Amino acid sequence: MNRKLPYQFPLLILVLILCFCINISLGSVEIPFSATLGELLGYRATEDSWSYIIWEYRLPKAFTAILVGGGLSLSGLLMQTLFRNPLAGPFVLGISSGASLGAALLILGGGIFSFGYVLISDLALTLASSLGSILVLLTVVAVARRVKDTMALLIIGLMFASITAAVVTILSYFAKAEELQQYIFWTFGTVGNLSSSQVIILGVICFLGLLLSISTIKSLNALLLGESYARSLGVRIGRSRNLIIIATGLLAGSVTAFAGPIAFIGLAVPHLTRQLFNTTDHRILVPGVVLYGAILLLLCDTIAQLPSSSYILPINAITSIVGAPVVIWLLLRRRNMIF
Amino acid sequence: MHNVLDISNLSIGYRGKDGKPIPVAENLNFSLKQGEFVSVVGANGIGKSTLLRTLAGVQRKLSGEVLINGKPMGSLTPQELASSLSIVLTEPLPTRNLTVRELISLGRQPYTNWLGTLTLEDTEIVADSIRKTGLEALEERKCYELSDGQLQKVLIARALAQDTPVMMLDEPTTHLDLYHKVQVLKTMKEIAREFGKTVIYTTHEIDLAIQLCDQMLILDSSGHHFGPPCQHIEDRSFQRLFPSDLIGFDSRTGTFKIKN
Repeated sequence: MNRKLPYQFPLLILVLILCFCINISLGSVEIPFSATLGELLGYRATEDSWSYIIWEYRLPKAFTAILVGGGLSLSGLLMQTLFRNPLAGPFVLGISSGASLGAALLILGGGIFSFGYVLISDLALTLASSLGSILVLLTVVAVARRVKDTMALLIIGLMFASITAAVVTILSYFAKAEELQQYIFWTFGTVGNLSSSQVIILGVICFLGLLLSISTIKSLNALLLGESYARSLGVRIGRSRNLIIIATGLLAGSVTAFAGPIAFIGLAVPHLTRQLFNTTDHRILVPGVVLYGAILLLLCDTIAQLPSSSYILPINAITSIVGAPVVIWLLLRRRNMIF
Repeated sequence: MHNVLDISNLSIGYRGKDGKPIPVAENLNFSLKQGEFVSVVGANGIGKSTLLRTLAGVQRKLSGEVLINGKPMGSLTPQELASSLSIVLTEPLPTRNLTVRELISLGRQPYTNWLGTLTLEDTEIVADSIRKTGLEALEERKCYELSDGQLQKVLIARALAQDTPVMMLDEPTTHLDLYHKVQVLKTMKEIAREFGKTVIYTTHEIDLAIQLCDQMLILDSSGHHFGPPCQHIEDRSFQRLFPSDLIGFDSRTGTFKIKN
């Protein structure tokens, strides 16, 4: 498995920088590309409003997109290898469901538990969804200690999703129209609502998740042969599994808490990356999916902005429109999703 | 030559819901020496795979003792165990998107650093394993392109690259035609001879095992018998292996014959 640094890496980094610049230069307000670039390189832009838009709005948004894309893709890769299932993603452990449940209880529960109607702040929403995903994650880790079978864990995650969906349905039946609308908007997902300090918090959590993932690279490679072989190669299965689950929880949980449930990135990017590098070696895939995921989400966000118009499309819709055909294309090209 | 594997009063099987042991086979006693080529035979469900999985540490024993190079198996760390025992299992690989060399390289995991980087020595051992199993031409191929027989050899090469004194294979010749069965078995025997490794495998091809093995462990409903094939023939152990209504063992040819 020894090889030189694949040529794809410098390529990916170049594309990432390019997408980053394009993402920042495009938006509802037209700012010339040269002015954006100049602003980023330290020259003052000709109009004050431009620098404000770039520094206070577009830069945090671009960084969020990078964190969200990279984090979700990495957690998807971890899940696919851990569950040896090409269809696994950050959603399967019920982490996103937990976040949705937290958000739903806060927004929709208002009427039922008679907090009275208050417009719920973004911060409260983040807290509620973080709590929800952490709660589900802790439950999953507790269950993982008892259930030795990884497939059973997968099904338990799906059951959490069903319970969440049911609770959300009940809540929305009783909720007011405005509350329902706010919840729906949350499920659209967004990368544009984070303040710089929130971006930093998200960045720190994602970095922790990345470090944990890097520490499990060797076990992940052994797990490609299945748990029995991995154990025979000296991998401490229980410990590795817990580390992988915690890393996924940190990545997917924090991303969903801050940006809402964003579909398909976690599922599609690991497959695209395997195709690009033509390998299953996690020493290449871990940095690969982070870069690829960041690029893809920057692109999706650029499209969602509908440049030069004042509309912003739900990013969740864009990732699905981009992601679902990719999965279908992969299936058609390869007949079976080899992972 | 010293004993590589000492098994005394070993009971294997499963634990029920209340933790009560459900034994599959009990009171196993045998020892294997360095470089021996050993097969485990017996009817379906008699516990061949369970024995192998227990010895490999994939499954827990119920009671008794397993000594590897004189040390109790339980006292070894996962890494020490991984550098004393390698396995080839029947379960299908979850992914076949690895190249032959990548898969064989994974056998070096017990010796590599935290990231799994191969040293020059590791690369040489991997190349040796590939050469020994005659896989040079397939080195860069993906595993999903291989036939069953080729994949089996790749898995054996991976176990060889793990460079352990004991190598265990669970039914390595199932699904292969007679020619490839013999090819795989011969490779295993050469590994035992040339590298001084103790190779133990389960099989249903009793006639081939009789021709090739140094020792055979026979598991049947009355217990177990351990010894060289010729001794088993003398003791008429093979006759007791299966119910006698359909087949019988012919001691002169060393094969089973269908009864008329």
